[in-house]
Amino acid sequence: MRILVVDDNPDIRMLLVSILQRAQHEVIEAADGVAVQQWVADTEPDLIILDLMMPEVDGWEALEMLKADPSTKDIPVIISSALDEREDYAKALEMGAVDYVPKPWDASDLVQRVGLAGAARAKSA
Amino acid sequence: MSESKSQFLAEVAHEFKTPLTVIIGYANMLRSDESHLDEELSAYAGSIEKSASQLTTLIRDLGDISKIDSGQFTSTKTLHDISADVADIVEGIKISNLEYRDRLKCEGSDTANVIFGDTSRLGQVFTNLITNALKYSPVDQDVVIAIDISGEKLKISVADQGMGISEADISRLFTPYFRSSNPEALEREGTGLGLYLSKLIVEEHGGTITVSSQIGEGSTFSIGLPLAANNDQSKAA
Repeated sequence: MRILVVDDNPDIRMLLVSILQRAQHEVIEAADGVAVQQWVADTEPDLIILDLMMPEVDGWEALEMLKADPSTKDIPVIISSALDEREDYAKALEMGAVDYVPKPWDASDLVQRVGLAGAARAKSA
Repeated sequence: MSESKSQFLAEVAHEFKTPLTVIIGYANMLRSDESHLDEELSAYAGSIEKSASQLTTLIRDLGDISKIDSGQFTSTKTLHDISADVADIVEGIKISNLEYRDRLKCEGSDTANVIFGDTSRLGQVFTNLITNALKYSPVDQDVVIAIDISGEKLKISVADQGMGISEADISRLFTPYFRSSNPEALEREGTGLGLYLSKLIVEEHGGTITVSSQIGEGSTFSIGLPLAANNDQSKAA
């Protein structure tokens, strides 16, 4: 799968690249939510991993934009965030995210969830 | 705890999570089969993983406690069958820790018992009690989880045949940051927050948590929770 990783922390992006490449995925990195729609238009990812707390355009706004745009609304979004209140989970899922993986996550768990979200997308496509 | 202190704790807990993600993530990768590390290096990575996981538990517990203290601890209560929840937790512990598979015995979980409570918070409590029982008792001794009804209350107990707890320690067991003075117990990792948090969660449900123990013979932790008013009907259904 081609996966777009949106997280303002470079160490987290580097880790996600390592983990997902090992699992045979292609990874594209974005450091903020500002140009998320442009990134998506340019790279046409199969799945997006999105952080929530980012400067300027945060993950909530980015998720809202992605789900409001007919050309991007069907791309599965997995939230990866240090916020771990149940209200956050519920809000993200209501807004259209397919999964919510609180930080710190376990690498193999994350890879598994990415695989599940990708498989569900392939099935519904 | 003052509100500013609670807020500070909550923020610290949050800020710890990103670096912990990086530490745990790379330790996971190093330990994976594709890394082909030799046994010694793989053990080092295992230690990093384990220590970072302990830190994660500490951070989560501290975050929860600060929320309880500042009145921001939210619980989502629903009517549900707690016997099934306990059975699921026991199965989950067996699956993720195969070495515990034969030691965990669950009695009485086949009868539905409905309570009004927060599944996930109470799950935290049961997981804490069961893993403590496994941790503080010999590897060849069973841990028995029993569910039964006593009067109007549901009683769930976790009994081990471990080192036991002295009377002096029992009086302080549910206070924050308490660690036993028993050197054998101190060898086990712990934050001293798990039982305090368990007590707060159980009391928030109108329940009680008690312990009885004999040195050298073992301990039994019991949780009493009010049964839902419609428990009988739900059992009949």
